[in-house]
Amino acid sequence: MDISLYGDDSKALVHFDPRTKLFIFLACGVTSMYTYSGLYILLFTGAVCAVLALSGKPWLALKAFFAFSVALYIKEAVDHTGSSAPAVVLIVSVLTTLILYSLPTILSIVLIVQTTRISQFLSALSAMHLPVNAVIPIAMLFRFIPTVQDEWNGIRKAMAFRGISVNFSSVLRHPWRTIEYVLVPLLFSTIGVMEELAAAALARGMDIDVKRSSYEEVRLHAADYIVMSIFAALASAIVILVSSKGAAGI
Amino acid sequence: MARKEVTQTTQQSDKKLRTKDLIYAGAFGAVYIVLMLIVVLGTSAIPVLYILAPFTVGVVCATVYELCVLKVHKFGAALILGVLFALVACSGNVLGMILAIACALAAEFIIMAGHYKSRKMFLLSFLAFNLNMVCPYTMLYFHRDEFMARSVSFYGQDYADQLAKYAAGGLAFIQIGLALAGAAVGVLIASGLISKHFEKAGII
Amino acid sequence: MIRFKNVSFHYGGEQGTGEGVDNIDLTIGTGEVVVLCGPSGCGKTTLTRLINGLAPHFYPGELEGEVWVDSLCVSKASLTEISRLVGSVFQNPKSQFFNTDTTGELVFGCENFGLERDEIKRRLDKTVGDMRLDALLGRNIFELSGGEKQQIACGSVYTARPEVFVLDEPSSNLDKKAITRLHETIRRIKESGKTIVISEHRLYYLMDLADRFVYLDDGYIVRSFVPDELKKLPDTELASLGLRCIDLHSLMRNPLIGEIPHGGKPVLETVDLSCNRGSSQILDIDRMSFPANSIIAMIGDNGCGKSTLTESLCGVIPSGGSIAFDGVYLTDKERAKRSFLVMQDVNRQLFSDSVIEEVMLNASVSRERAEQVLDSLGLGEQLDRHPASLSGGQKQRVAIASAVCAGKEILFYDEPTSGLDRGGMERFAAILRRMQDTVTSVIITHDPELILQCCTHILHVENGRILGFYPLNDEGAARMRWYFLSESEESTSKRREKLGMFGKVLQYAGQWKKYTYIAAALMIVGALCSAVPYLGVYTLIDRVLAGEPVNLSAAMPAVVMVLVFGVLYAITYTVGLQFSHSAAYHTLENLRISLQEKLEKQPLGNVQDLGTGAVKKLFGDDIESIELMLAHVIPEGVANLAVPAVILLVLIAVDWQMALLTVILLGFGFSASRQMYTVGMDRMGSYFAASKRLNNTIIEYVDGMEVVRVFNREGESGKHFEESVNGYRDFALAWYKVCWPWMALYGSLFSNVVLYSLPFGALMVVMGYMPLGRYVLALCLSFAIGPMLMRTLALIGAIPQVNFKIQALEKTLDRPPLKCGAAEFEGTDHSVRFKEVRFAYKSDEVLKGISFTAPEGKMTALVGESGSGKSTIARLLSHYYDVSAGEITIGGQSLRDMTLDALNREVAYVSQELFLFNKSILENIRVGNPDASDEEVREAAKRAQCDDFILRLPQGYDTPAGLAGSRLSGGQRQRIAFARVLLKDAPIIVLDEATAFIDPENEQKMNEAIADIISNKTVLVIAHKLSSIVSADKIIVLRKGKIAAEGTHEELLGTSEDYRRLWAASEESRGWVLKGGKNT
Repeated sequence: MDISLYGDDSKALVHFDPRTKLFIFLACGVTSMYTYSGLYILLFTGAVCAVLALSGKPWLALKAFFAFSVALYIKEAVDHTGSSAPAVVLIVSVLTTLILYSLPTILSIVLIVQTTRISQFLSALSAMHLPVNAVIPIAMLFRFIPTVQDEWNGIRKAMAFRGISVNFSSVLRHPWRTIEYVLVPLLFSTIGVMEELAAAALARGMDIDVKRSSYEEVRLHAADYIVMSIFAALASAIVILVSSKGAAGI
Repeated sequence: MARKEVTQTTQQSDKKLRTKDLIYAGAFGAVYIVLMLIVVLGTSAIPVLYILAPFTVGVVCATVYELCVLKVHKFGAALILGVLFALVACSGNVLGMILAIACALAAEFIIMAGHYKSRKMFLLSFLAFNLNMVCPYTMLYFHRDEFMARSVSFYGQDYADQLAKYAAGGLAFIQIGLALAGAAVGVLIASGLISKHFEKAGII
Repeated sequence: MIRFKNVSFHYGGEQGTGEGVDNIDLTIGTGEVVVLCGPSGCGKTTLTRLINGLAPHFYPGELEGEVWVDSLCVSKASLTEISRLVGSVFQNPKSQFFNTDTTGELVFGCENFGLERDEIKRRLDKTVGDMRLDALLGRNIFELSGGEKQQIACGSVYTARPEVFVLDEPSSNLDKKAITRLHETIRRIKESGKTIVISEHRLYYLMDLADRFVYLDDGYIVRSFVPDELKKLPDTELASLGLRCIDLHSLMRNPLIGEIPHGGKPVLETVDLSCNRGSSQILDIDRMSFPANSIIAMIGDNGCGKSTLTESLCGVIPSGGSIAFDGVYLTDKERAKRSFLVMQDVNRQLFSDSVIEEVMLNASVSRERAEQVLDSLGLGEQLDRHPASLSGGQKQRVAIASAVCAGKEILFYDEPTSGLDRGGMERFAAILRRMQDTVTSVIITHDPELILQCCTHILHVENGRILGFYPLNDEGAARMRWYFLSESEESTSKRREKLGMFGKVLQYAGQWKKYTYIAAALMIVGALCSAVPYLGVYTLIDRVLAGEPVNLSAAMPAVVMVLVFGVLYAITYTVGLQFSHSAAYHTLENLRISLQEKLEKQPLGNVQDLGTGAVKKLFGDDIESIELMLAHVIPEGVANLAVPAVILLVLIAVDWQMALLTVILLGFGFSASRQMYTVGMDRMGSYFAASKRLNNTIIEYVDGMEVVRVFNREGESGKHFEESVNGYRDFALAWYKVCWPWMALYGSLFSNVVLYSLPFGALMVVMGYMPLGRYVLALCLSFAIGPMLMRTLALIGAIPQVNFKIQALEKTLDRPPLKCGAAEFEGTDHSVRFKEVRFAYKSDEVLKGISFTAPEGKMTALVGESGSGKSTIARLLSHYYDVSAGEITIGGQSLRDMTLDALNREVAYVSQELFLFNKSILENIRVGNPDASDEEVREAAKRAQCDDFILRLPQGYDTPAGLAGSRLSGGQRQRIAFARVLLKDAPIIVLDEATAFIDPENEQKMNEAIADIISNKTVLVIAHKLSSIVSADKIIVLRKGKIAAEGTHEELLGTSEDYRRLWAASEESRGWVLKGGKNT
């Protein structure tokens, strides 16, 4: 799993503020609670894909939108033909529903992760006046995930030399030992890195009591406001429509 | 070696979270989340194990949680872990997020009850913390109700009754039970590992 | 200004060890550069922590006394306040940066201070300018090399503009280049007047920067030196102080090393090792073998592939090629069982809770034996301690012990001595020497002291290839020493590109990408059009099934639809094919041009080494094979995949159950094909290597046929050829054998979808779930799917092959280009000067420090035995290769500064062989100067004494050389070469055994021709026949790569033993007379 945490928006046509992307993320969360089919969600997903494309990932946006439409199509087709095996219908229905309702959210996460630089993201968070107690751990989360991956790779290689393997059979046969062999070196090396990192950060003046400035400029532009209002309108429209039509869904 | 027995230390020991603690909590959060993702994604190939995720994650990640709270030793360690977990695992699922944070808070209170001195309380708090593994599934339960409604309209009442047997409520309880069980096993492993390795090496 | 007033500090707290420093009284002036040195554990790091405030504010402990930096009392102030005055750079580049991108990291300190954005930008720009970090801005830190990370760390502190810089062992993980950069950085900081305190083991790079060396031992300041004092200390005293060497020039081989093993069965051999990562090929090694019982040092710059090579050899990363231990070819897993890698970060390798448990883990060894091993490594006291509580050096020894107990044959070490002091390093070397009988060791290292302490061989890796493998005797030591002392060029690591499957190819497509997309789109439309007629047929069938009569008028719409769509399909498909082929050939063109440009920039020597066969294959066959993919796979493949997808979707609408069944079957088919690819990819490397070798063998066989026949070696040569062909056959068969079952599986699944859906559908119809009409339509649609998928899959197999080939192509030409400049010839005169030139070719060092001058207008001759380096010197003058060290200048201008064109205009090189192009003789001579007129050409030919024999040829000057070339004798061809040189009229002439072909009839003519050529030119002559160079102005005698003597003929006869010997031999051979023949 190679998440490129180093988001890059250099190819973007429009640079959106990370706060806008967070807003989109929230809107997706709200909408997926209320509906999972129909024209409206298609429109909504289309809007998300458009933002994704404008932010520099046109192919991804295209592929995602295509996948979404196909899933929607399959769901509609299966629902309407009806058939002899309701159990199968159920399974297919559930699966496609899962995809449909989670795709917009996943897309908005991809939007954040892959088109935002981490330093941009953190400045946006602190500009939103999030308490520093939250910003630093989130920064650390991003910083450490590649480190953990690195360490884990190294440990796997070390295990190969020692004849220790981590796969299903070893987990089944001696689960305690496998967990020990995985956790112990991982935690020791990570703790080592952690301590050195904390020392280095503190020695360079990091202090939660002192207000930090930010080199990255994070400002909301007209485009951000436009996009945010579009999404707010879409989301509220969906919510209102659905609640007025009742639980039968659209 | 110029060695001396040191009796007093010039160290701040306050209750507030310092920069160092935030860094540690965040880093442990990263390890916790990566391990959790590996366990969940690794076992999702087999559907049964996927439902069992609260159990398996509890077993594996208990040690990470314990190390975190023991190393930071202040109020807020578990909370930060909980918030990070909620952000990653329950994203898009507001109700799930709130529940997960509530579990983390419960864990914090358990630790506080031990006045930060009782090792047992530290260990027990994970039982509360691991309940957050159930939270990502809350949406499914939500949707299940709506789904029920649709099924009624399509397949008739008796079919819906059949389905109702695998009612949402039942599954939720099963998962809560799994989470607790997994946490218990994990805590056993954690205490074993901590005394065998981490204390012996002097990290904790 | 830093002041320590009677400071004592001991670590306390929960993890305290009670160690620390005592009674420190130290004053460091502003702008001073102080280096803290001493054996491990002496307290250097503690002192640095006392200055930057980490002790006691981060590392708890007991502090007495006060530390002052300017007017701030560090012991009492907060870390935030201290950080404004004191900036710190730590030992481990991996764990000191907070951000994931470089720009953010550089401004981290400033952000912490809460500075305004403009101020930060100003400071950042100044840092980037001063430290030349442009290439590193805006990159992902995880992708940088260790040295670059350290640069960013220094830059980050520099941007924060503290008054004092504290560096804690900054060079410990760095290679030679990075240490040079670090040295530069420190120098710049020093120039800006800041105070610098460095705690270090490696002292040699600081000798010219430090103002003072403070020596600590056991927590006390013992002595302080100025650099001159330190330089005067003999090595034995340095050793007793526990300090590492201060001057790399003085490093000597350890006499305890003993005999260097050679010959015998090699313990490790590899053939055709290649390793791909991401989108590029990293390793490209033809052959390598390690002798048994040796200790091998792997050197090379960071990023050249040493770690990748090590991990491939150990079997922990996948690689292509064959690797054998002790003569037996092993798979990855088996190799991992028999080898071991002691990593840089030993924390990752420790699994147990006590040392003795760790060593006995998964090793079938008795407790006594384990204790014995631990004892011999100096860990006898630590049996029950937790490995993580040990020091770095001790952890390393635990890892070694575990490997020894597990009975491993080969141990690899990744930079084992990076943080060790002298004592630690010597102990480690002693361990390796003791284990030499049972274990072969390979050490990746940047530490020349360690190498000279214990290694027997050196493996020099560069850019994924082996630059040289040589034993570490005295000569080898000299060679290794100048590697570490030589200058290094500036270079930064490249951004890692992640290109998808098609990415590599589309990269070369350039502006023709559009065509490919258009072609793909057109084909999709076309394919769709081909599917629509089925609907038409369906309507007809439906009517029939409904029992209605089918007459022409009713059928007409359907027929028309079939016709229209059929035509549409034909049109779109053809047009699409046109576009795709156009795009494909243009892409090939771009690829060829780009490769040719790379080839042009290569030193001639490299091109010759590659071999004509390989180059021809590159430019011809390999590129051709890419054409298939471009023209067919991309556009057609897309269409052939899209259409079944669409059909499936339609099928879902028609009857989703049949669709589901089809999907399941197709799923099986796809998984089978995927399985085939993963399995096949493993073998691809070996397969291509075998094919490359076969190619070379064929060319060699054909080229050498003449020699083979004359010397009656047909049996042998034929056998060699046969072996090659058989080997290739075996590889190819093995590869296919692995792939066949899967191919059969998915082949049958895809083409016979109907086999499964037919009965299933019939069942559904019978049970009344599906109307018959729909069933028929579904069947028709199913028919369409199979063949298209099969076609696609046949083509898709080509994609990974093509990617591999392109990567191999790029890798072959990915050698350092010739170092040329951009200037024209600007030298003051035409004298040639060699300055301390060293040159190594493969594993041999051919020239070992040559310095001489060939004055303008005079003839300088080079003589010596075979292999002494004469021809190499001549070739280096023509910039055939780049020198490994030293400089060659013409009239004061270095060869590296001028363009190749300018150089070639100044130097004319005449060798023994003459290459005739497939043109007339006139044109061939005109090659010397393309602007010459016909008269000038003939004039030159006359002066070269070839006019007469040319006129005797059937068409005189217009005879095609192909014909004439075969009829000319060696002497005649040589004279044509002279004609070229005369025409060119270059001021410097190099004659490489040009008189080798003198036949007695023409000797006089040749001599006249030569005299004409060399009048008033600077001439460099290489000759075996000493009689021809007796009159040279200067004769240089070479022996084994060094200059043995210099002077005129008479002087040398008097002074040089070597020359006298050569002269005697030459005179003797002149006197030889054929029995019964006449003297000439």
